[in-house]
Amino acid sequence: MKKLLQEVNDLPGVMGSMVMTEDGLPAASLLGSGLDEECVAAFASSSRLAVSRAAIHCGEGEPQEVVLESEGGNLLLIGIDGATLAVITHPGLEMNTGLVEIRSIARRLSGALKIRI
Amino acid sequence: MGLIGTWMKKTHNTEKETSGLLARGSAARLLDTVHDLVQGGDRPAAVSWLRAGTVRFHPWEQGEIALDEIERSGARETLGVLQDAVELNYTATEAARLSEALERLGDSSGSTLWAHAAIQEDPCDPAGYLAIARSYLRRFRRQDDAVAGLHALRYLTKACQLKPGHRECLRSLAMLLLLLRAPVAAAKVLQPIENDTPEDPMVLAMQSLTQRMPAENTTNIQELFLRWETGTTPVHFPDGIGVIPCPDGVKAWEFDENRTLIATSTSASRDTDTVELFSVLAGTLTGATPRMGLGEFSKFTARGHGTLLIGLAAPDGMIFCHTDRHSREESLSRWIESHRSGETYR
Repeated sequence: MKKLLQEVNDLPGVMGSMVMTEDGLPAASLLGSGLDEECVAAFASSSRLAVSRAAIHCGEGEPQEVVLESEGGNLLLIGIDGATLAVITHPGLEMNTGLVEIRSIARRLSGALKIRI
Repeated sequence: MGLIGTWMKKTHNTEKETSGLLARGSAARLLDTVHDLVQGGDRPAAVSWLRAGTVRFHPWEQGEIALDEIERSGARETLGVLQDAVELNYTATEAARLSEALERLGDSSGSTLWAHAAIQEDPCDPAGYLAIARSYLRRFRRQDDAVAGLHALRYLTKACQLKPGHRECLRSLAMLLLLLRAPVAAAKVLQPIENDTPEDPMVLAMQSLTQRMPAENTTNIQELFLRWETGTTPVHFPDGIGVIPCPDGVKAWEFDENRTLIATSTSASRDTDTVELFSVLAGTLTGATPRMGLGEFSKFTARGHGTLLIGLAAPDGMIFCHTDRHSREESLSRWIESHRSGETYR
């Protein structure tokens, strides 16, 4: 799993990545300096939960992909079987191109996923 | 043996004695009693009462310090035995016990290692999750650390799911709910263990708090966290909500900086659940990105099953819009941006 996370991190503009279980527990992470694993896990999980609840309430089911943009960077949350891939990028990342590659790695992660905490 | 020791031998009159020790203003007396118990060699009872006291009289620095001392000294004395136990009979429970002892002694990396080892050894045993949860819960209680609170909640939820009715899990979950000032939810969690252990000091302390605290009016745990963090509760006035003119097939909601609903499109639901979910979403996102080191939140886009949910930070609040047509992402983004900049009529 870490190898795939490293592949994500090697993409231009990516600052770090993490896999969380569906319970919001961190399963594996490779975060760059300046990113606190505990904080990212706690708030990425809360954000995912809050967005999912609102989306499900609107009748659309669990979102497959959530992009959070903020002035200092973006957080991408991509659903993979029973878990979530969280990727933190620089604010200037070209979202369309970057997302395609991240989605591709997420699909491979989904196949390889065996959650271990 | 002190007062508590004498009391513990009695099967009657418990209510009177307990109400005395956990009554308001009894913190000093409880400390004296704990001291007597330690002197009398009954450390488990001392720890049990002190733990109850730290919950009942929270925040209670003297009690926390005394509890730390007793627990540390207990951990020092049992560490060797626990290490042997792990080597001789390696189970998730033994690994979790060692994790908790190391945590008491301030070895957080060792504690985390053994807790994770416990989870790996038996992912269906709640012991490892509970050990991690308790460590976070202690930090949340003592340092008012929101990150620790969120992690405590996640690990406790997992532990409770793995073994519904597990007494220690329920006690810890009730404690977390009381710290979040949710006595109604805490009372529900306590119910199954009240019958099993009605004289447990911790149960008595928490019962006492559930009766004293004003009832919460939400069952949304994220809303409880936001109230705890901000100290404010959004109040929605159904009569004062404006109308947002929206493109066809789009629903929109707008909240002010206090997470209070101020306007919706005509087709958007204004029921309590919907308003609370979006209010929580606004508060969660506003707080999350700065805490992750990403600065102020500006926008989110959630895509799923052909539908789209977008949220945008406005100068004095947040706007959300939802459509069933995924293909309209670009036009919807433009519309919501224009609405934010005030070009759209409110």
